[in-house]
Amino acid sequence: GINRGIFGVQTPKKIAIEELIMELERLNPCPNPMENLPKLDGNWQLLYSTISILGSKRTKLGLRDFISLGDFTQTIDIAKMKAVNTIEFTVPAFSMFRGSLTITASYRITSPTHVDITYESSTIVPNQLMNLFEKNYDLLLGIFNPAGWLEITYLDESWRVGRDDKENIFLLEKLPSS
Amino acid sequence: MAHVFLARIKPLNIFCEVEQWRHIALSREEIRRIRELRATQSGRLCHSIHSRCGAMTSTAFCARGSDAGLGYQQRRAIDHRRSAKCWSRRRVVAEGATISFTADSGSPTSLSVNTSSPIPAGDATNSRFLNGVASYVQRRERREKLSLNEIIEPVSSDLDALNQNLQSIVGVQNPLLMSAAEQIFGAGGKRMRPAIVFLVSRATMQLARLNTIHLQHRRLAEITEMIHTASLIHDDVLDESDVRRGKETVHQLYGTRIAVLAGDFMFAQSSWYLANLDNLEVIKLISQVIKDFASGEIQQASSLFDSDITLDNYLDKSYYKTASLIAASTRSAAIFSGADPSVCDKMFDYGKYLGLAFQIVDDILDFTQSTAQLGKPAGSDLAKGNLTAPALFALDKEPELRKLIDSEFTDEGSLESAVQLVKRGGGIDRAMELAKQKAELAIQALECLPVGAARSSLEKMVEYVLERVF
Repeated sequence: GINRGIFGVQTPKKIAIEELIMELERLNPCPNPMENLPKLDGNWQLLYSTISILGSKRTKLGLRDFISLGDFTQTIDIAKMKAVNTIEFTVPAFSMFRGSLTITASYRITSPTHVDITYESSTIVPNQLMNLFEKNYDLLLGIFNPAGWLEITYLDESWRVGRDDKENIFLLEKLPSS
Repeated sequence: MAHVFLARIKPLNIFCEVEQWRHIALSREEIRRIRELRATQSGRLCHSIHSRCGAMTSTAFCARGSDAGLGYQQRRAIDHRRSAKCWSRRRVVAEGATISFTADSGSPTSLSVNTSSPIPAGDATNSRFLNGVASYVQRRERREKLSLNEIIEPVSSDLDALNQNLQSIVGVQNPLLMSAAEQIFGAGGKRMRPAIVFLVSRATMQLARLNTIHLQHRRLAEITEMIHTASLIHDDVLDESDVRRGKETVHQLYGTRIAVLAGDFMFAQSSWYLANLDNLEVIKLISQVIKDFASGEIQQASSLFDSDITLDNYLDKSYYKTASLIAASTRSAAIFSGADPSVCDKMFDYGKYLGLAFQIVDDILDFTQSTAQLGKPAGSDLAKGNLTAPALFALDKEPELRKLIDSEFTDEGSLESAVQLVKRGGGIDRAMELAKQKAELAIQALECLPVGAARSSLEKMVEYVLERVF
C-alpha cells in the first residue's frame, strides 16, 4: 500500500505504524538474537522502513516519473558474517527494463542485540542502469548505505524489526529459502 | 464633465509648430467628435485651439490646411500661444503629467502620469493646477482597468484575418484535426501573442513611415499563435488537465494520441511556414523557441522540490517556457520591417521582459487567486514541486517552508501552511517588485519606436500584464 513508506507517509499513519511496531517489540520472543543466529540467516524482504526519498533527492534520482522501485531484499550469511542488500529498479519507459543495486556489508556482533555494520562494496547491474544513476551515485548510496550499528528488537520465524544509529526503523519478513 | 488631459500635439502646420505641451479639457462630446474625425480625416477640418494655461474648455487640432477657415477667436488663440507668457507656462506644464496623444491617432485614451519630477514652485497657480491634474489623472487611471480589447484595437482587423486563416490552415488535412483545431482555436484564446506581433510590426513599419504591414508579418503572427497553441495542447497532456480556456482540453475529448499528433502537426506546420518565409535569421530565431520550450520543461522537471534553485535558474526557466516565443516573434517582426539592428535588439528586449513579467504574474496568481477563480486549489505549482518566484523569495525568510517542501506536502494541510508561509514571508510582494522591474525594462525598450497608437498599445500591454494581479 504505502510502498514501504519510502515516498512519505502521513504523520498520523506513521505514528500508528510505529506504535504497532513498538507493540510487536514488546512481545519479542527472542530477546537475544545474536545467540540465535540461524534464525537470522537467509533471505528477508523489507516491508516498511522510515527511510524516505523525498523532495529534490527523489527528483534527482529520477524516482519521480522515470524509475520505479521494486523489491528490497536482504540476504544474511551468518557463516561469512555478511549481509547483501538488493534494491530492484524498473524503468517503465524502456519496456519494464529491470536492474538492481546490490550493497554488500559485513557485520560484527557487539552485544546480544547489536551489530556493527561496515560497508564493503556496491554494484549496479546492468550497465544501462548504472548510466542512469552515475551522476547521483553518491546520493543513492547515501540513502541505502547500511553502515553504522543495528539493534534487532524483534525476531521470530517470520518477522524481524531493527533500529539503527540514524533512528531508522526496519520491518522485514522472512522469505522462504529457495 | 470634462476630462482633463495634458496633450502633446504633433505640429501639423505652421500654426501648430511651436506647440508641444498643453492641457486640454475634453468633454465627452468632444472626445466623440475627435473619434469621428479620426475616422473621416478628409477635407479641411479646423477647430479652434483655445489654450489659456489654467483652465481649458475646448479642444482643437489643426489638420492640413492654411489659415483660411480659422475664425477670429482661433487666430487669437494661436497668437496667445505664441506669447512669452504662454511660453513660460508651457515649460512648467511640460514637466507635469504627460500623455501621448497625437493628432493623427486622435483618441486620448492613453495616460501616464509623471509625477516624479517636481513641478517648479515658481508659478504657484500652475503647480497647483498641475498637481490637481496629476492626481485626477491618477485617480482616473486607477478606476479604469485596461481591457485587452481596447489595447489590441489598433490591430483588431489584423487579428480577425488571422483567426480565419488559422482555422483553414490547420483543418485542411484531416477532419479530426479540424475539430481539434476548432476546439483549441475557438473563442477563448486571448490572441495576445499575435496581437503583440502585429503591434510591433505596425510600430516598426511606422519608423519607415509606412502604414501597412507585409504578408510576412501576418504569417509570423500565425506561426506564433500555432506554436503557442501546440505547446498548450502538449502541456495539457503532460499536466493531465481537463479544462483549458473554459472548454474541455483536446486530449480530454479526443484522447492523448490525437492530442500529441495535433500538437506535433502544428509544430510541423509552423516550421514549414517558417521556412517559407525565407529569412534565415527569423528561421533561426523561431526554431530556437521550439528547442527552448523543451529545454524549459526539462529544466523544470529536473528541479522539482529543489529548494536550492536560484532566482537566475527560475528566470532562465521562465524565459525558455514563456518569454522566448514572445521575444523571438517581436524581434522577427522588426526584422521583417527592415528596421535597424538596434531596433531589432530593442524589440527582442521588449518581448523578453514582457514575457518574464507575464510569467512572474502568472506565478503570483497561482498563489493569490482563490480556488473559485482558478478552478483549482491555490498553490498548485507548489504542490507539484515547481518552485516559483514567490516561493523562492519566501524561502529566504521562512525556514519552515523548506521543510514542508522537502516533505513533498505529504501531511494534510501542509500545502495550505506552505501557501500561508509564502505570503507571510513577503514572497508575493517581492515577486511583484520583480515583475515591475521587468515591466519597466520592457517599457524602456519601446523608446526607439515612434509615438503612435501601436506604441501606446504596446505600453498598455505591459500595464495590462501587471494589472492582472488585481
